[in-house]
Amino acid sequence: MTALSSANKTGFLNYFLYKLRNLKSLIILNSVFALLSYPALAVVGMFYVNAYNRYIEASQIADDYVSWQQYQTWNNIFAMFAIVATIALIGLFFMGLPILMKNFRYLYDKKYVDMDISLPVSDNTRFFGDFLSGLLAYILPHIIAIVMGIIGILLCPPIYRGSVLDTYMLADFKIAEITFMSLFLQLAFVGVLSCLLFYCLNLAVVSFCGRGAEARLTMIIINVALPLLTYTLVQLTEVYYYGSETSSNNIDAILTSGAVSLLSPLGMLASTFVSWLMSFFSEGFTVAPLRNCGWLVAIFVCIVYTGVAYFLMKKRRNEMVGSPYMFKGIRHIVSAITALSVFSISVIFDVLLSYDAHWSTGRVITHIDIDFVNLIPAFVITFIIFIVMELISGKGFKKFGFTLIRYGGCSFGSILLCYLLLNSGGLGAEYYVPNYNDVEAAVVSYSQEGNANGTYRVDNIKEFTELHRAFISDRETNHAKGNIDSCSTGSFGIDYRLKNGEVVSRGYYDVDGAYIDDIARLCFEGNGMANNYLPISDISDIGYITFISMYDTENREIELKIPAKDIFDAMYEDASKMTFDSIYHSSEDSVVAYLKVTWKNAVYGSGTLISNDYRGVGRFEEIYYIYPCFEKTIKLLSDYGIEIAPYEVNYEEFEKAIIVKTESDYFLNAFRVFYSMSYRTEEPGFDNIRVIDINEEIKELIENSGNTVYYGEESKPAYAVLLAEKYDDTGEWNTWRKMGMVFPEYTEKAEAFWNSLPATDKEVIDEVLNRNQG
Amino acid sequence: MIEIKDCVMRFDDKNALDGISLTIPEGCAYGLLGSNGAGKSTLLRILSGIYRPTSGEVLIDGETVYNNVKNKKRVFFINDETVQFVNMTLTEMKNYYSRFYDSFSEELFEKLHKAVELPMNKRLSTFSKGMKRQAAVICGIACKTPYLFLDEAFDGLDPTMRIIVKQMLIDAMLDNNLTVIFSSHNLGEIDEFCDRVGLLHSGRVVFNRELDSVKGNIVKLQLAPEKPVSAEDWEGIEILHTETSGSITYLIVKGDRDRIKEKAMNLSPKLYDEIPLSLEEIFIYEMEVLGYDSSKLGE
Amino acid sequence: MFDIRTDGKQPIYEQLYNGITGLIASGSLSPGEKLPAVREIAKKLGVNPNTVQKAYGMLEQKGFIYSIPAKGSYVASESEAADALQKESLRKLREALSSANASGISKSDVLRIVNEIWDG
Repeated sequence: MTALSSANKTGFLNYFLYKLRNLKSLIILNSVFALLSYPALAVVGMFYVNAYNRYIEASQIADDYVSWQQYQTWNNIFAMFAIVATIALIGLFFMGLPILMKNFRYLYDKKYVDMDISLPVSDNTRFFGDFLSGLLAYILPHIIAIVMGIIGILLCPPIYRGSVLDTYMLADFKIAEITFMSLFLQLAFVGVLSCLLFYCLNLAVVSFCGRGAEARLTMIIINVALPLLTYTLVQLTEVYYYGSETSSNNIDAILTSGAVSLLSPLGMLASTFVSWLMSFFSEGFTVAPLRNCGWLVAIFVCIVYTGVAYFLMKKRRNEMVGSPYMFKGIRHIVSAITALSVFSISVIFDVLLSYDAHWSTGRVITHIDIDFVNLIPAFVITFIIFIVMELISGKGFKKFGFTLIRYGGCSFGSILLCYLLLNSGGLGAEYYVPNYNDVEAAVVSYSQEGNANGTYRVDNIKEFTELHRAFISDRETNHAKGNIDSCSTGSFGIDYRLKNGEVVSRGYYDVDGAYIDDIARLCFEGNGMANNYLPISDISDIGYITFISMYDTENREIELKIPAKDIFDAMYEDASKMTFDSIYHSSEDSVVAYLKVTWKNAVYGSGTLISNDYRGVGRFEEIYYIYPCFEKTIKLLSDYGIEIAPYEVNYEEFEKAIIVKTESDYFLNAFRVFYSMSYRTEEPGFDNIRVIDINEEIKELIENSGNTVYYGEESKPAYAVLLAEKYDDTGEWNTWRKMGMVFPEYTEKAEAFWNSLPATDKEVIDEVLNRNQG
Repeated sequence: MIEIKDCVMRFDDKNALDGISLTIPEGCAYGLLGSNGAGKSTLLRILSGIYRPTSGEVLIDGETVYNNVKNKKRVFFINDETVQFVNMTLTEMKNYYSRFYDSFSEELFEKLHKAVELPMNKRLSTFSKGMKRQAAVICGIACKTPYLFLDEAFDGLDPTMRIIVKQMLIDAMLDNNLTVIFSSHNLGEIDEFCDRVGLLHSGRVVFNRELDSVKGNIVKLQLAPEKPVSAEDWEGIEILHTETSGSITYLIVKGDRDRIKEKAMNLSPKLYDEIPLSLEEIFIYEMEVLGYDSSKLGE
Repeated sequence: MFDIRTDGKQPIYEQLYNGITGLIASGSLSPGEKLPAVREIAKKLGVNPNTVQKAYGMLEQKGFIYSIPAKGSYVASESEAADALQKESLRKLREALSSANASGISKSDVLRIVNEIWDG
């Protein structure tokens, strides 16, 4: 034997090619799956989207049966291919397992240890030869199929975009070829990445197992537990602490986070699916795992898993193959992970069952207890899994006592961990308020039950953070114990955007009115109000601006020809002059019109406003309110032919007047007061609503009332007045029916007026209400 | 040459090999004996680079084996199972080894193959146990490695096959200076073919010597002494076993042949006979001394 | 040629040795005749070639055979063989007589047998 051929025989290439040849039958199967998935789906998808676009366009003009039929046909074909392709993709994904198990059989199958290990190849040759040949067999057909799909897309006739000049609205609905290609590429990339993760993760698992049954079971457990735990543990920590703004309904937020989508294959797939669902075919959309170079992290994670496998294999003792796990303590770790997975879900359910969502008065502000009764299913399920693990170990129930101890320990340990996380205050987030020097912008939105609300950019951040801090430390007294009727509670949320780009969000509910009051006042200091009228992105990016009238039903939406800069300048100037009173002590209805700004491209909230839209999809529209006091803006609009007619009361239209008595609060909103009172007419002794004919006194009260009025204190009565229409058929309960809360300085008059009225019969009230409720 | 120095192999909580030291010279046919669990297979696996010893030194021709590709190429291990080959054909099996062993000889394989007449392209699952064994042996010998280890490899071979295999080994021993280690329960086999023998028990070496000297050293005496025999009569000689039947005493003794005769003659026996022992008998008596009940043999 | 019993009682090399010397004594192997190769014997009998080698070595030492490197082993010349044989027989005779003595056989009995064999 010459030296050359000698080197060749031990060489890596020799071994690699041998193992690859060995995988021949699996490669063929893999290729079949690959061919049935991407290429077919891509091409059929192109035709399908084509038909869809045509149909959309045609249907804008008139019902077009031909295009509908074509669309339906392609819809059915696509559905068929989609089913086959889905099965093929699933097969393609799971092929990693048999490939891995065949190449690395000496890790868990005793009968191959002698033969495979005594072979004269080095550890490294064996590891990398097996690893890379398996990887190639697994991924290469996948990639080739993707390439075939891309070629297919490129070869297909281009997607029909429309022969008519599309308005922006139409364009929104059609699916662009670029979008389709982009989505296809993204999904393909994620497909490959998740396969890579699958392969490397399972290799790491097999490297510490010594027996086939345990290897397979542990792979299942780890693949499920990893995404599950990255989700549940985050939820337990992040969702339930005081002030948390991650509502438990925002499953998608956590699911699309890096931890879930980049550490485990199933997590990546789930995250992709969820993020895709949330923005089906939108332009500029990126699936969750690929954002912010997530794919680099995923590849790094794969390398880490492979490194772990390599390290464990070097450490393992071949004589132990045949026993369940190769290292002491692995059994305990796997048991603990299993128990924690089951219990973390169960605890979340328990929290949901025992504590209502944020909005109820049962809102927890101190600490969260766990009700063990709700955990019984978890105890049972975990026990069953432990029994299964015991059974497959093939050792019978010899050391069952130890298993029971392990079960108990893991179960209670899991519960303890969940409890600690729940009560950890978001690991400090609960008490954290950023230092005002680090904050670039802050936006607060508040609302009070049936009353004041608004979203404003905070000007005096320093004072606000102090207020926030005081609020947190004062939480016991923050929360009203009153009932809904008194409208004494409210909620507010605050988003801080820090200079380093981070966004900190908090939300508080059942907050005492006094705090809402403080916050509302703070919003109007300085340029607080005016800053809400800055464009959130560059003006040149504006597509068009629409004027939406509150009152003019015929010309509701009008596209403005006014230069954007002029509008914004006018609005800013007007807004600067706004005060607290102009919102909460205005006899004119608060909002007279909206301006809707539509952007050419999706905006992600850079600029003055903050967006913590985690969906990775920007907004296309932004709404600005025009108030009656916006003189400059109104004049500007008028110059361009748009009149904002303030609503003038024509008393002829109205038949009766209604006056409602209620308890006062910091803010009261006429609509809500009236609404809540009108449901209480059945109560014995109820005498809060009186119906009268229209007279001068009522007219005076109407003139001196406003939509939402600030009273600033409780315990005094307040009055709402409403003009009831002559009978008509609209049945709409709209705010432009004249109604308002009487201003505080007129309360005495209203009180005197009330006292002069007799109680109204219930039938009369019902009659009037019915008419107006429709 | 194989050198094993103070080799310890620990499994869980006990030592499969408890400080073994052995030297096996080149070119010999070595028989590794021992009851089940004595450590034979473990030792062979260490020598084949499958297990890594917990401590101690195991050298083949001066180098360790574990993860040493150069040395592993000089060793071929045939274990006592055949199930791992079951899905391969003989061709595939041959390719598996010929690809990785430099010294594999196609020519030799052909020659051996002709002698055993096994089908090349049928799966080994269709072979009988003996045929499977033969397949493994011809692959092993065709690799022409200087060292060949067989773990209970003659089980399942019929006498014809056994002879064929033996002839193959003889050729290899003469042509390539093959060193072969047999691990076996079948003492008859070892007796027949090996020139050196080692007995392992509970992970320790009981003896390790040339077979002839083992046999030469232990002998069965049948004598009818004038007067009853007592311990002082046999001073300096190790008595492994005594049995008296009527006036005849049977003794299994171990020691120098001449001295044994001397002592025996001192007793002026009416009847005196030296009966050589088979290896099996020696095995049984040695183990008895160690406290291993012969009725447990073969478990 | 001759049988080897592999029941383990007598060492194989001894059996070989005795077997070959027997053949030489009986004339089945003539002086100068080439002995079968070690390989041949080993394979035929299924015994360790080292063992065969050992036997040949002993035979050579006692003078029954001689070997030429790379050619093989040959039965020694008549006179040498005869010498070796005699030596061997004498050795065996001595052993047998010692045994007889030990077991109490009388000298006269032994002498009677000697006369029978040498004279009759």
